[in-house]
Amino acid sequence: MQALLKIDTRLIYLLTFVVVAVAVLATLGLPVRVTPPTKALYDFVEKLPAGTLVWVGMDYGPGSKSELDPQVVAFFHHVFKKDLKVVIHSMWTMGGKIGQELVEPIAAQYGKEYGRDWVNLGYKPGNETNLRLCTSSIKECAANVDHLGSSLDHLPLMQQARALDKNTFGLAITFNTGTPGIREYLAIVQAEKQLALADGTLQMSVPEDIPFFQSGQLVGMFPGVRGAAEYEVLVGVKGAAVKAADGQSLAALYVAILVILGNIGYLTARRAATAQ
Amino acid sequence: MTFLAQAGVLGIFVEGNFAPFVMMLLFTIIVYVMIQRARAGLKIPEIRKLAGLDALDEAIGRATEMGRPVFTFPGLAGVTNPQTLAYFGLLGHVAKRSAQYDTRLIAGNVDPYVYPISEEIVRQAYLEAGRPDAFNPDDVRFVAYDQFPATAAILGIYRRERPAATILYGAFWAESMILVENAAQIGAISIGATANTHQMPFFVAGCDYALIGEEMYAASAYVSKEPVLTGTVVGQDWARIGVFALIIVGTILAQVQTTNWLKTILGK
Amino acid sequence: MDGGTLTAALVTLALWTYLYKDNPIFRLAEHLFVAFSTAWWVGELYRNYVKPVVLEDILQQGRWGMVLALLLGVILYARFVPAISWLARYPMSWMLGYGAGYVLAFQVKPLVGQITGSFLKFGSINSVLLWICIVSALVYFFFTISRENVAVSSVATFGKWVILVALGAAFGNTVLFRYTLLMGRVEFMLRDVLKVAQ
Repeated sequence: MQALLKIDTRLIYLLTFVVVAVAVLATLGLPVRVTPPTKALYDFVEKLPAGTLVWVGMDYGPGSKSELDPQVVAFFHHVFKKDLKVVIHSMWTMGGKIGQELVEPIAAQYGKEYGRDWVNLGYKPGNETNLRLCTSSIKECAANVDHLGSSLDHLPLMQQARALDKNTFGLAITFNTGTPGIREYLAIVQAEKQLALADGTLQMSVPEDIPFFQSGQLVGMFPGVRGAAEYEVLVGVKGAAVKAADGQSLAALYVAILVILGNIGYLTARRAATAQ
Repeated sequence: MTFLAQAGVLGIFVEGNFAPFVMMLLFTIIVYVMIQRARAGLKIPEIRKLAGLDALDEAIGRATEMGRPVFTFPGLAGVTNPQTLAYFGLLGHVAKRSAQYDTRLIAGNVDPYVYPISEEIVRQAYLEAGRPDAFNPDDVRFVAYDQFPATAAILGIYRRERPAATILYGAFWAESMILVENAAQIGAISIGATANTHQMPFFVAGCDYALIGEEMYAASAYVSKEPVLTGTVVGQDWARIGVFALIIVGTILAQVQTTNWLKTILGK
Repeated sequence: MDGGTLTAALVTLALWTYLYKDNPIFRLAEHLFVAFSTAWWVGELYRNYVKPVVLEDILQQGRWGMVLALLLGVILYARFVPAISWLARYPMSWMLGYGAGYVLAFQVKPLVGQITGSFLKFGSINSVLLWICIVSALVYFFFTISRENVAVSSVATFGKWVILVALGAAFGNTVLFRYTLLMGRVEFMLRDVLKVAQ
């Protein structure tokens, strides 16, 4: 049994690859159970009247695309279906570009026009100071240009979207991975401006962020890629997330088996050591 | 008064910010008083000893027996991060012990501002231990200014210098598991301390001794006996006890009243 | 297959070789990554900070007040000149002061939200359990109250177990997150490069 502690790590890596490849190649379609944070976010968006402005923070880089992209896609399907209007902002250098690539095809699918139905302000340097400036004037925090550098004066939506506050926007959501991210939004957008806030976060940050949902500071959450899968089910679109959730389920099973085997090996070794 | 209010002078509090302001003010006063008392050598509540603390001296002792170095690292954060400040308190203690035991200490750094401060602390500790001659500035090292290059550099130190004890004390991210795993591979005793929630599980699972969250600040104050750190930890503890009391009262009110006045006051 | 996809595929494979053992191909890829990321940041910092402030704000629009901020930034480099290294402390103090001030001004309120959010009305087992966990985890972090008191020590011990369970959950979540990252890469290799998956 003690041999379990000495499994060649290379074998573990190889099996890891096999498990993940199976999830990518096969469509398992494991059942997705909708959890309260995702349901709460869906219900909140569902209740927003058509034409309401939604602020989307794209606060992540390429490293987190596999977890957060499916959330963004599922969310935008819902938002455009509901005829809501969107302003995208990013505190991360690549965030604006990632947002543009993801939203453009969805907007086209729902016949949404750039400048009238949605605007991408792109990356704005300055972290929390910039976000704070947005709460008094979006024109100022964006230096009056969108992600391509065109003047905001020519975009009709920006006549309506003056400042990031509860009188102008119905909801703010940040898809984020770290700093700057949800902490800055909680302090500035939720606590100070009292705007309804939601969080699209990585699986690994769920235990850290969920207390803010439980305390009512967040109206809803995407708990990792699983949250995206749940949202896809709720919105009724087929995307990448359900597949990714399948992969996670397989991986969880595989890791659980490894943890059990490792612990059996550890306990046997310990017992052998005390017996001596 | 009406005039002042209209002129916005009394409007200094953004709506809902009054309670946080009062709490912050109270907290500042408590911490200030505690620091002043600690400085003046007056009695302040004692910080209880934590389990991981004995491990520190044990680790340095083990390194001494084996004739191998002790390695310390404050993680990736800069000087503005409280976790790095806690590391400074601990580093002084570890450096002093290392000097007393005549054990080599290698201190790695990622942040260019943390680096000179670390060097100064180690130099001072060797001086206080009466061993200024034993201080080697080359053992306080700047490894790299980026997460994974720094990790790679530290793994190099692990392989080449084979420390017998590794002390990771500060703000860590994805590199934590790599560092802990490699310390185990070279047979080093490892002590990990962080307040970054997402990395705590890795320290708890992988280190011989782990200090989590607030424990790292308390431990640093305990070993350093530095009045500012000690006063701050005691002040923080009182604030925590205050929060505890608020939660108890608030919860009792939530059971008996439909509108919780405490919640209303705190929300203002 | 376009050049970009091919490069990405080769670099991914080069990194995966580390799983067998450390080797020059892996190190080449790693060093290239460090070099590219440094170059990228130099470009980004120029585009987002130097160009808008120096070229546009100061030189074109004549906002000379910005020179003061610029000067504070430049002074940071004084620490490399031993004779005037003390000068660098001024902008450093400014940054430290800003950091501490920001935390005190904005981060207290979300904390108050956490406190009031813990005033739970006990309506279900879940809410009672959640409340007990919150309170006992808080007691675990009391450092000035002696553990010799049985009541305190038993609540704190329970609190420790609550924290360990939470850390276990965090561990599991992080492992799953890493798998999702890997899945993204494997999907790229199988779908975009080898074109065997849909």
